[in-house]
Amino acid sequence: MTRAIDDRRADQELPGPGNDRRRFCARVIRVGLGGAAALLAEGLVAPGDRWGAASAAAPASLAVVKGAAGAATRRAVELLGGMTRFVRAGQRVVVKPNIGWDRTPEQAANTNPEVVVAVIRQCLEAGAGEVRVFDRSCNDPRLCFRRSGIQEAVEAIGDRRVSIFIPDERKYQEVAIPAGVTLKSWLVYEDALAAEVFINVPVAKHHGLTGLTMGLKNVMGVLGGNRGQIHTGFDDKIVDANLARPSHLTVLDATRILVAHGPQGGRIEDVRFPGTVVAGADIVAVDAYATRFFGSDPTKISHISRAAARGLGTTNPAGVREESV
Amino acid sequence: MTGSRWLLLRRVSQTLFLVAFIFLLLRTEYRGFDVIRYPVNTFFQLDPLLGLATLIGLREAIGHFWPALLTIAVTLLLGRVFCGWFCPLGSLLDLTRRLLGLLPAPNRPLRWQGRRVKYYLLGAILAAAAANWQAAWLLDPFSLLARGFSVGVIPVANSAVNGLFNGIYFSAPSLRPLSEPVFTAFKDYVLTYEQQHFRWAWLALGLLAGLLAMERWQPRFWCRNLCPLGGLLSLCARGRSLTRKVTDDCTDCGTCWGSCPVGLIEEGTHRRSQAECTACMRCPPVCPEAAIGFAFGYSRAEAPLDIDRRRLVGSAVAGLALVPLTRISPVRAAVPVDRLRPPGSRAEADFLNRCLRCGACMKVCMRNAIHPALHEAGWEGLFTPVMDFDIGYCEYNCTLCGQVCPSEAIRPLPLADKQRFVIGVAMIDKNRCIPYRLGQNCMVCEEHCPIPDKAIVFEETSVRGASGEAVTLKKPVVVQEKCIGCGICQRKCPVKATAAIVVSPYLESRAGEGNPYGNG
Repeated sequence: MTRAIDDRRADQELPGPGNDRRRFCARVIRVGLGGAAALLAEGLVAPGDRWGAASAAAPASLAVVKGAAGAATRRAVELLGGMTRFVRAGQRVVVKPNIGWDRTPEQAANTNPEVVVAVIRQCLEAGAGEVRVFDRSCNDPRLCFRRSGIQEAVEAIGDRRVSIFIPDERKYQEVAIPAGVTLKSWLVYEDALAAEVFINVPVAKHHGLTGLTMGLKNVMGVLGGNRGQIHTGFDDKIVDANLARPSHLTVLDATRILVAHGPQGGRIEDVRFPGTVVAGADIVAVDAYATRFFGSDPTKISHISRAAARGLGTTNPAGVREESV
Repeated sequence: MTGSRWLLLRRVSQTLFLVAFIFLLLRTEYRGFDVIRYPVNTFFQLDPLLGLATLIGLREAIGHFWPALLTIAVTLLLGRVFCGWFCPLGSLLDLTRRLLGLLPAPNRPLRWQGRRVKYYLLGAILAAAAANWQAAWLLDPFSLLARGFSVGVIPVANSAVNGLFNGIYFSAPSLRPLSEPVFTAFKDYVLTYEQQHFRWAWLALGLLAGLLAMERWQPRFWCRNLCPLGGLLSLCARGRSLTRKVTDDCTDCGTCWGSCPVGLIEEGTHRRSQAECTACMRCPPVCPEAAIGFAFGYSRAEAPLDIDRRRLVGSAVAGLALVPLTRISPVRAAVPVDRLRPPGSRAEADFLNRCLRCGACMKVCMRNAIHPALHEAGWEGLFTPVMDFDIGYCEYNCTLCGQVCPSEAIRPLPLADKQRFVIGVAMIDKNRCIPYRLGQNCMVCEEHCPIPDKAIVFEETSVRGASGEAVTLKKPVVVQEKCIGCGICQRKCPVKATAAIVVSPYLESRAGEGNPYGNG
């Protein structure tokens, strides 16, 4: 076949049945290869996919994948179009898991370490220049970083571009929030502000005050100052915090969820196992979807409704893809 | 010559033991493991004064103090070498003299010869211990040093180093690539994780500084005149085998007078060997005739211990007499509200008998929640540990204080038992609590409560918001049966300055053990 294409160049001035046929075949091949390349370039056909498989469609706006933690995380991001949609080569990335509490992974008070690691690996594969991982814990951070299993798991990646650390109290900066309704300014961690890509990796949990805590609430981990003082009028304050630090991608860990006595929990009886990861660029959509794991819906969680009302996203996205791996 | 070599060896020994003491103090901290892996109590275990005082006071031998017999054995054989070669406070005093430029020791004639005082203090302490009043801690060198360092020196040093590097960080940012790696190394190996703040730190520091300042008047002033451990060891040294020997080469030239840091070599005593000698080896190299040496063999030129027997008995009586004074303290009638003890603490009388006031629990507490008491536990409770939940709180999964307490005044509890041990009960002040008082939601206390099924729950009511809309208000309520008084709710409560939820010693576990004060 290749020869036919080469011959075409040599024969391009000579008409005749043999040449016409060769020209025709060559054109078909060119168009076919070109079309396939175009499809590949648009990410509409994943390499290695069976032709005509389920993913022969536009990237999902919300990906919901059930499976083992690492595999489900990977697949969810792939369904969104792959991490390269969010991370360009050389960029400064912050991955913000929930490392809030002195609890083991089984107690579901912090993000599943395997989900965190899968997100970081995909960032590295997409060519990130650096990946910083941190959270401002509520218990002693040394205990939280260790017992959550996240520090060990992230350090085991063994890549120099990745760093996980307890926030440095000196590095919070006052930032203005022009669109803020109740918070006109607040202290935000420098690294979070300087990030070119901010990836929010929350764990879905019950919360005594807000009902549920997921992506929108997880952003509080980059805030400095006395966070206890902003718990009144909380819904708008959560939204304002998200305005101060918007998320480019939210990868929500619903592999293990805490359904009662959150956000800290402690009882294994309060943990359920949806075994699912929900991912999307629209943080409101992710949170809204995840309410169903708790038998709830976004209208019942006031900070999600408020975020939607103030235009941070939609609780009812189109392009939802649900899969199992 | 051998004299100088022993001198050098003694200095090396002092340095090693002082460094070891400080090193173990610095290791009395959370370092990534739930169980502390360093023998941080070693020095206290070796202290026979504390061992003896607790033995007399408790009428039972605490196994922890068996190594103190080693110190006694060494003293019986070699004399008061502990004070000259091993005691970190002694080494610190020598170091202070050197830094103040006071070496060689000029023994200025001091009218007051208080050498006997340490025996009287020893007698008073042991007599009081027999009557259940533990005072050894006040004058024990290890207790003094550990306390002074834990709540005073180390936090001050931390503050200075932090101040230096933070100053560079903020005012000379271009130097950060140089300063920050050094700062990180300090933080990893030397500094405490966070700056610690202690109540009454100035008092503990002041006592220690005062002792060191006394060097100005007389070398080893503390060791000669006040240290009851020194007194105890001098008594044990009376039958020692290693003694100072002066040969007949001595010409009484007087060169050695004033060379002894504990003032034993003066005109008239320079040929003698005395029980209070610390074998510091300063005198042999000084002698122009090389007439001074140390050797095994009982010396007939032994000077008797200079104690007035009548005064000794008098001091014991004084020690005993102080006991009723403590018994009429008001704290025995009513528990002061601020006296919250660490989890695992024994009932009060037993606690006060055992607590060495060493400050180890204060140093090790991860959240800086343990502080020295001033009068919250009565004057007999001075420097004992009490909880301050405005400054810190007790981490649910931590058992460090019980692990480091040398005398088990705070018992080392298994984690599950510690998580059931009631320090006190949190009480909500409805006049200050935001939902009750201001009609706004908060719930920070409930959020932080570490009890897996929550010791704070909420009552939901519906109120009208500012614009007339219906607002669901969640008001916190403490579930007394579940609350262990860890204090995190008080610590995190956004209401200033006194939190709206405060832990009270009401229903503390210790009261259930039959508080011998009768006010549990």
